[in-house]
Amino acid sequence: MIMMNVKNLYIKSLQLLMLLTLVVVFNQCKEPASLNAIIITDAGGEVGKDLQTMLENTGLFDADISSAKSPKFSDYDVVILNVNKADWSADTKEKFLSYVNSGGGVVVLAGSAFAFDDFAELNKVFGISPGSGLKKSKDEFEFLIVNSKDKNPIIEGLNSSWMHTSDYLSFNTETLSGDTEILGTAWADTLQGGNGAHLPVLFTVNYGEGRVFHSTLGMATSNDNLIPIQCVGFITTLQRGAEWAATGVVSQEVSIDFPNSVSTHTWAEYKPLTLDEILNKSMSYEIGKSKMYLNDFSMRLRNCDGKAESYGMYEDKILEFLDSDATVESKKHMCRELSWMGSEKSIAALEKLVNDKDLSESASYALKRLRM
Amino acid sequence: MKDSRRKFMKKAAGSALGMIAAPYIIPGSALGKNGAIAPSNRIVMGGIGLGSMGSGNTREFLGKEEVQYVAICDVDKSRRGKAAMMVNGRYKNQDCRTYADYREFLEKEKLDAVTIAVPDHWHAITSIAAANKGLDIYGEKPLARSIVEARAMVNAVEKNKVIWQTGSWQRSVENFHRGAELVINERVGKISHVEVGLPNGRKPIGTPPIQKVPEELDWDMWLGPAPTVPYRGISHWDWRWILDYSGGQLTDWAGHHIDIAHWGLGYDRTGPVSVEGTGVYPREGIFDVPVEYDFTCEYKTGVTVRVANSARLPHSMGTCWYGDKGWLHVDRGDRISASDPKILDEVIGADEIKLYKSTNHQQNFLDCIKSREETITPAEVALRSISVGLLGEIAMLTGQKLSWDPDKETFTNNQYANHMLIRPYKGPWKLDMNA
Repeated sequence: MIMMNVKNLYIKSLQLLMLLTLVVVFNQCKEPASLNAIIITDAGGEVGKDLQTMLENTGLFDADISSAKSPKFSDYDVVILNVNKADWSADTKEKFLSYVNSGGGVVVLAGSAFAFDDFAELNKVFGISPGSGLKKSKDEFEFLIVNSKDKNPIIEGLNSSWMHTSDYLSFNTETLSGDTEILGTAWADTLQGGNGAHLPVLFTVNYGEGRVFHSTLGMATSNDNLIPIQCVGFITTLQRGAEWAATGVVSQEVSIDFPNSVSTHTWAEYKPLTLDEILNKSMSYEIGKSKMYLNDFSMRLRNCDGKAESYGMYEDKILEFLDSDATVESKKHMCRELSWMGSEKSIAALEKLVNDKDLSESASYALKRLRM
Repeated sequence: MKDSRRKFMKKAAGSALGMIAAPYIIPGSALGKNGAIAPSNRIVMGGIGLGSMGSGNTREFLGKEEVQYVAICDVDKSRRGKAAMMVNGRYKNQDCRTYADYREFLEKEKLDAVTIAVPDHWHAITSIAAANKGLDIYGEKPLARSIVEARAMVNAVEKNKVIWQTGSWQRSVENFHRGAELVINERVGKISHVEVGLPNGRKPIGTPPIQKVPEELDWDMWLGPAPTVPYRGISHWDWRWILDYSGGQLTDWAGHHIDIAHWGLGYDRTGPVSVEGTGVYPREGIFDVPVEYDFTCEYKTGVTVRVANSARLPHSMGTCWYGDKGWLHVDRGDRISASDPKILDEVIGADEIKLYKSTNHQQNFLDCIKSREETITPAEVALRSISVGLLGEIAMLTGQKLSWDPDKETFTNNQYANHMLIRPYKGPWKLDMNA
């Protein structure tokens, strides 16, 4: 038995060493951006650039934007399709099929699968049933996406159900075709003209050696309405789906801003706000207005590592906030946070606030807790 | 115990001698005719908080021959009116006295017992005041909004030797009793873990506009010890989605399915040693309780109890104990099931553990008022049930794995979490620890 254990230990150590080597090699591969992406779009203006920003913000991709009728697919690890109408020649279609067949990655966005003339083989790449034409909800609305319970690297670590920002919901995914795996579904509300069933909105397709990630989200996007693609859920699944399509694995961490089952979350700059940005946006909170930045601050605090230094950093930010010209209502929220994670330093600051007519009650609340 | 029993008998005798502050007209049927109980032997009761739970409880007690309801108290005049009508309708008179302030109610009325069903942030103050008056109490779950308040309530109940029944009525229902008794007698073997499924959270409603306080409502009194906020129409029912008053579905239901989990485990007078979990909180609106929650407590025996909103659990709602010989699940609607249906036919032998038996939760309270024995859900048991919910709440709010000392009732690895054990009162309200 002892011999066995020693042997096991030896094997374990060897495995660990190999793993560490792999991690080192992988990290070296990661920088600088090593994956080449091409965004094929006819949206023009803002949307293409925004998709490029999303991909490049991962630090994993160099992304080109192209409206070319015949891009050189083989130069890229992943092809992002965001098109309304694509006049691809038979030759381009053949080259695309050959690219996917030999292991190329593809991301299909919004209604792009319907941009092409009816071509059965392309539909197998997109994973949809041919011929039905683009169908979508009557209105743009916020809807809940429920992730599959199956293990898939694209959705691993995401909240299991999440609110998507106001968008059209595609009704084209009633039956999928080809080798597909459903990652997320949304309820096709009959009031919106849907069939009352849960329809796939995120799925993958295996075609030949190639990997395809299909997201029907973003259909309501235009240069005047970027809300659908500013959804952190849209951004995150695009970023993860693109990496998976290119490499078969996903190395990205999930942001705590990923939407939950009741609240949407947008990133106007396609990346999370810094703590200072959140604090700046919190300063103008008034009763009856949106409390989301204050809640985002609390969420960061709740998700910190719980070490004294970390709480100390948050405490300093809050004390600075209490000393600023932020609104009384926003300061009341901050007193609540201090009430549990503040230190002696906070007690001194709160004692002064007890004499402030607007903040006296909140300061007393915090002091009673901190002195417990 | 004996003293208290005598005290009750003395009070009952006092009533017979017309020593009640404001005597009422008693209909003939109440004078002992046709087997009815004469008022001198009745338990004189009143109610504080007459919303949905309060009026439901009152209705149950009004149906008991040995009870005479004489007064009610609520900060909402319309609720007072409705409740008084219900009481007067039962006795066919106009005698039910009404109060807006519980202090005046307790001062003026000479009661034996009181039902309390107020928002959670008011539980401790009203219950402690009633206990200090020597009243027996039927109090709604959860016992309190914080563990410190819950302990103060248990102290008050014990110091004053009053009878306490918690509205954790599932213990008086057959399938829960049967399930817990099978589990505690190891019919599914040695328990390793338990899953407790509670309702999924209520969806947020955004931020309702600030409204004029209705004339019939004393909003300042409704808030009481809680922080000052403008009125937004949430004084009935929807207060339970705001952390200042309630912990949401989690704390609302802890006194049911967690209570049952403890019963089957034999953990009625202890608590976990660690707790860890996550909650999903809305970003917008006035509702700030978790809409999803999922946390796990470990006890010193190594047994773990996972508490989550039902969508996350295989058995959905209810309590499911897992042992080395199988599992057993109970839920409302008389549901009881097991990994092997034969488990449910097992007979509990004469020398095995027999759990406290009650078939009617209100009757059990009345019986205990007379016998001065402990009810099926005494205050300490209720404290242990809600503690699990409140510990989970603190673990989710701090985002940390917390170690808990169930005897000293403090966190041993996290000073920050200890600050969350109280929800400080706004002046002039004070928590009387009775310690």
